[in-house]
Amino acid sequence: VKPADPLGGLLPPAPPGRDLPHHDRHRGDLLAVVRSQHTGERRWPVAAWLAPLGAAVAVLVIVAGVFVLPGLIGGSRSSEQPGTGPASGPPAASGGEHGPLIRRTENSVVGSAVTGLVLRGSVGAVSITGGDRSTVAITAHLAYRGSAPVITRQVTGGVLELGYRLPNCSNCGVSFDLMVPRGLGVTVRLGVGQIELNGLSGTIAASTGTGQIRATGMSGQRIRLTTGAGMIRAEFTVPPQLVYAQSDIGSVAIRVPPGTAYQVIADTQVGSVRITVPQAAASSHVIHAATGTGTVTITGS
Amino acid sequence: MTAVDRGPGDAALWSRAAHGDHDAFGQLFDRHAGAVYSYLFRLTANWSEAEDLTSAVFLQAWRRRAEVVIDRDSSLPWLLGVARRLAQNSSRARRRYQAALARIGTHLADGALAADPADAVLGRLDSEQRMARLRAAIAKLPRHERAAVELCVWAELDQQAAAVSLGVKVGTVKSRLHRARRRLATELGAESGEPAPAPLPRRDEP
Repeated sequence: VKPADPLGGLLPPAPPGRDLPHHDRHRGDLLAVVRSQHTGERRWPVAAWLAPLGAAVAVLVIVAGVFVLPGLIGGSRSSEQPGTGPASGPPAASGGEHGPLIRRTENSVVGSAVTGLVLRGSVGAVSITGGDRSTVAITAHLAYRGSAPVITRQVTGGVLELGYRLPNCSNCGVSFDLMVPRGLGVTVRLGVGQIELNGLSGTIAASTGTGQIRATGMSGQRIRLTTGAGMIRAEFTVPPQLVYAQSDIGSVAIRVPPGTAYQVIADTQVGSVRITVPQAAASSHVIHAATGTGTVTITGS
Repeated sequence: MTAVDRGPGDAALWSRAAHGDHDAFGQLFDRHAGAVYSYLFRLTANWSEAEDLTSAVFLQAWRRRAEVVIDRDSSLPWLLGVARRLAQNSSRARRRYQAALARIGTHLADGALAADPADAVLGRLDSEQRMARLRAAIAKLPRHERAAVELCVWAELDQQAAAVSLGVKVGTVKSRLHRARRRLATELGAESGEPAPAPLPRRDEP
């Protein structure tokens, strides 16, 4: 039943609707896109109006993390305090989850030839700095109540796999400071925690559920940075071949050297896009930068 | 307005789509693509742009399928809401869909669509011009009132469905329509130099 014209014929009728032309073709393409995106999409769709709220919560989580896990989220601030905690902490017979907060730092070096690094973590920041060296120096900052986290590392086929298990403990986590050979291929996957990358020239894939990502002095060809909540900053000293930077909530800023044109795909749902690099749709250099909420900036310095 | 409905209702299809059922999503596309396309034309006064945007609307709807709102077993009002927001930023939405197409290397990205017969092109141009004039007639309405007119007059939603599409209460739609009507009457009356509101000359559909 067609509803009565609420304007009482003030306007002439609009041209009638039509069926979508090339319907089957559009349908086929749409479903192909949907299938291709099905695996990689965000797990929790965020309503547009929830995004700013989510950002605020994310900031609170990060700030709270800094205080609840001193020395963890902040990275290298923690110092050696082997096996001791504040004397005022409530007594706990077996050092259970109400025991004192313990902070401890473990240092180690992986000497064998390593060409790749895979780091997985649930709670804690990661900082990776490349340099003229052949070994990987690992500094792990542990914080926990109750049982200590267990660092795991193994080298398989030239790839160093680094991570940790969190046994029955609360308020616990591990942050890493790594010094690595510049050309190392690096993969980082975190649950909560910021990621800092410095002076790396290998292929990079870094993702965190919550936390900012900062990459400076990068000279690699391919880099992929994704975060659920937090800003992304990436600066390059050599024109990269492929940059993919995606934040669900938070601004994204990419800075590349001048003199190269890029194929740019930049997108934000809520916010603005500013692009000052030269663009060429046919360029083999690609920058894909997107965020749900926040500004996207792509500049050539 | 809605296409002939056979098979499962929208709510059932969306619930299957939410669990990753692509066929269910395809059925939703079959059911509502025409209405979304026509609504987009009324927003843009451009058939080609409306065609380009239609798939982008459904892609966005797929991404937000957990948030779909069903009104009397129809998701069309909600889809039109998605379409309206996308049309406001159409270049970005189209780019996003084109980028997605390019990534999977589909045929639509390269192969040009078959050319329309000339009389169809003329028909399209004619309706585009009429639509552009209509849009000019409501251009002076505040955005909210314009949206109510676009939904209730052109997309032929009833006021409850329009309220769902806009995410407001029915009373709000009522009052926006009322204000739009008063404003248009004054506007059109003033333009034609008559004291009383005079409707624009009606054109019959070809």
